Amino acid sequence: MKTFLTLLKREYWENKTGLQWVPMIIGGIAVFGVFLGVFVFSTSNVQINGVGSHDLTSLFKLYDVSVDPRAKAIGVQMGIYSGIFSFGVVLAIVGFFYCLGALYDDRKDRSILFWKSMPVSDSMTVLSKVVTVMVVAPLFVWVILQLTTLAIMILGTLFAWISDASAWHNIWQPSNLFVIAFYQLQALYVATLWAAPIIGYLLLVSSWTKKVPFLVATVPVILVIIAESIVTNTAYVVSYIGERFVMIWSAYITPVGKIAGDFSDVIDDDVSEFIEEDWLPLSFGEHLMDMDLWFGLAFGAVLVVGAIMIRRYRDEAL
Amino acid sequence: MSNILEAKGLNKRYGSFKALDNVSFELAPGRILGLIGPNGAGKTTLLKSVLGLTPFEGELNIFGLDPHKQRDELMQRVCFIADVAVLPRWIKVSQAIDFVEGVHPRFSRELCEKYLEQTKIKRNSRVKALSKGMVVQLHLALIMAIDADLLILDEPTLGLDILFRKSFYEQLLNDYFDDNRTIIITTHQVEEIEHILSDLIFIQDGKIVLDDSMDAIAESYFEVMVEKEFEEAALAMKPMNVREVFGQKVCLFNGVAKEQLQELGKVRKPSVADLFVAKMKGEAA
Repeated sequence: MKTFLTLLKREYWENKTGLQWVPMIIGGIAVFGVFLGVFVFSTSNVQINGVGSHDLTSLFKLYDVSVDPRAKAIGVQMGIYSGIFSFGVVLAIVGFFYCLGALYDDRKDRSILFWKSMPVSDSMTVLSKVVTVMVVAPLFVWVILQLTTLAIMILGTLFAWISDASAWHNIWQPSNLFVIAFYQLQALYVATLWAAPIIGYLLLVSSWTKKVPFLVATVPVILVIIAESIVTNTAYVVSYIGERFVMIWSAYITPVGKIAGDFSDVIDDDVSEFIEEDWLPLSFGEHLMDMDLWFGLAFGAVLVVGAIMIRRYRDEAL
Repeated sequence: MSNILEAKGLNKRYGSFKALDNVSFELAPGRILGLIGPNGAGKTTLLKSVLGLTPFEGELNIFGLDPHKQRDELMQRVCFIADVAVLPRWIKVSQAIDFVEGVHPRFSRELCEKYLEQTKIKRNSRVKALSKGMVVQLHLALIMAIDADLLILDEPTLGLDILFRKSFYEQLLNDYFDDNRTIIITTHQVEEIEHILSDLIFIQDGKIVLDDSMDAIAESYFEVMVEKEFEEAALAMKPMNVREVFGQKVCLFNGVAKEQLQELGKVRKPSVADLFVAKMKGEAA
């Protein structure tokens, strides 16, 4: 256990940039953007429908007194939840490059000879990387997302005070913060589970390739897709990969459906009809009961075992 | 005492190239073995086989373990430093210490700190900011702070200056080595390690051409500065190697009684380097 925790720490030390700084910079940009929006530009005039002229603080005041609390709540909750989309993209990009380098970089700089001089099995090493990308990275992203949300809500609170409106009634009370945060956590992990075969594939390539893992991971897939379409006139590979992305997307919009469902009373009729029909995303439960998710996990596990075997038994360690 | 390492008929091929050709040897605990050979002779392949880093044919067991199949158990008792500075460049000195402490049950932080105190290495530097010599110092401090039963050093001092090499070998012998530990060293700088070795193996073209203890070598190999008048007599005794120093013939003999040689001229112990040259020439001829 101590060994495994040390290995996770090692991954954190090596990948601090991707795991920590990149999401923090994205969060920082979001907070800064909000800051600019509500404080720096709030003094300039805003015209609505070409009628009247207000500064943002008086608009906020208008919003405060005129909009239905339920409508405020759905706006705030959707707004808070939607932070997940940019952070989901960050997680995907960070995870992609992390996996490609995970079992390749130490062979490239020969430091694998140092790691291999320690009493750590290759299975444990590779598993520490799987846990880093599937458990630790989403957790980091989630924590930083929550900090970002809080910072933005604090800015909102200050703005409400300036506008002489109630921060509690307009921001904090309708936010349903803990539930939304929990939705975000679930969405991140369910999406990660869907990505398992991709993660396994990238780790396998990272363990196997002698050079440029990025090209080795991507070019053959593209070639296979092209070859498949020419030779058999089918598209199984591209549709399998496509399905992963659809399901990852589906995991991220699941809470949107949930929040919308909670507020069906205040959503316009035509919108709610739309929601009640095909649009309503799967629930997380339905995601977890989808056999494709489990097949994908099993497939990912097989690929990870392959990555371990290559690292363990390759002739030249490097 | 039973051997800690036994190799029987090791073979390793890369295509048609035989990196190891029927190599057999044994090693008892408490010995320091020097593994000497020209580049490409198979030293590194042999060490990699011992460390379970490469598959091989033949029988090899270390502490009764098969290094290829039982590598994880083996690494509890064996430590090694590969030929060049291979510490990851991104790691900080303090992190490297934390890491080894976290994964190695036999690591002593105090001992490591003690070794590092003798250097100018700062705890919060990253490896990439250290000079090559400092990286090696750090690596050695980490490895020597591990209470390993077998330490394998493959060209540990390559590219380091002479002052550092001297102090390293002194430290290895005085602070690290004891009767329960065994060390295997490969190096090009034979003359620097010959006084600390207890056993010697020469390897050439994947074959072992000499395998003896230093004591046994001292009893059977002699070098004679042959006096002019005995030159023919000396050559008639079939020396292993003849070289000339200031016009005088220096003959290297194996298995000839010392008394008999003393009649020919001044007898002395050959250096490992001279022995190596003689052996390599002999094998090539």
